Amino acid sequence: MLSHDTLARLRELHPAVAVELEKTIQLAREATDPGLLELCSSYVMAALRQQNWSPPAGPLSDRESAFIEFTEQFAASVSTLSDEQVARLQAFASADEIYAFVNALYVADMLGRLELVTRRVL
Amino acid sequence: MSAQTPRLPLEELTPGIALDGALERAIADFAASVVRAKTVDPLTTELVRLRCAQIHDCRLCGSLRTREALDEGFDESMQRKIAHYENSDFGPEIIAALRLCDAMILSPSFADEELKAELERHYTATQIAEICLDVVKWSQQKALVALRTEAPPWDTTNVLSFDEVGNPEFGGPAYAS
Repeated sequence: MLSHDTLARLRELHPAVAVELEKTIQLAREATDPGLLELCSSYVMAALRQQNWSPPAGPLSDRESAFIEFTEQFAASVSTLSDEQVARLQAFASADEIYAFVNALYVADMLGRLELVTRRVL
Repeated sequence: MSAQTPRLPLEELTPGIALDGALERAIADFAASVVRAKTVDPLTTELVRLRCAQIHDCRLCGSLRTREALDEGFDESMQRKIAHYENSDFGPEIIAALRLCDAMILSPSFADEELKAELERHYTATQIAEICLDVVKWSQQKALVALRTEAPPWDTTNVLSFDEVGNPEFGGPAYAS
C-alpha cells in the first residue's frame, strides 16, 4: 500500500505515526479477503493515476464485480454511494465481512493517495 | 446534509470481530498518533478537517469544532468560507493547505510542482507530511459515510477535544445559544 521510499520518508518525519501506520497496513491485509483487497486496491491505484483498469486474471466473478463497483464509487465519492451498492455486497458477504472490507478499503484508498501526493510534494 | 440511515443492520455486527476489531483499533491508534503530531497550527488543522467533512458529507465531523481551534479564534464565518476557499480571504498558507487537502481527497493529479513550491513557502516537510497524514486520518469518514453510520447523536454544533493520548472526546455545545 505504501512504497518503501514513502514509508522511509514518513519514518524520518513522523516516526511515531509511521509505526502505527505500518500496524494498520498489516491488519488491513489480515482483516479481509486478501485477494479481494488486492484486486480492489489495484482498481483504486489505477483510478487515482487516471489510468484504465482491467482485471488482472480474466473476467470478474459476480462477487468481484459487486465489490469492484462498490470500490469504484468509494474511491470517486462516498457521498454518492447508494443503498443498493451496499445491498449488492450483502448477497456475497456477511455484515461483519462487509464492515471489515470497508475499513480495509479505506486504508488502501487513502494510502494510495498518500503515496501519490507525498511523492510529489515531499 | 443528507438523511441517510445505517446500511448494515447493527445487530448483525459482532463486537470484537469487525466492529471494534483489531483493524478498527489500529486505525484509532493511528489516528491518535496523528493527533499527537501537532506541528501544524490548530486553525489550519481544523479547516482541513472541515474540508474533508464537506467533501465526504460526514455529518458527525461537520457537526464538531475542535476545542483548540475555538480557543485560537475559529468561528462559523471561517467554516462558511471553506467551500469557496479559492476565492476567500484566507491567508495563502491556509489556501495552500486546503489545496493539498483537495489533492489528497479529490485527485492526486492536483499535486504538482506548483503546489509543492507553494507549500514549501509556508510549511516545513514535517508540516506538509502532517497535513497529508491529517487528511488520511480525517478521511476515516469515508468508511463511516459509505455505511452511513456517521449520524451525530446531537442536533447542535458540539466540541471535539482529545485526551492526552489523542483519543477523541465530545464535550457539549461549541457555542452558547
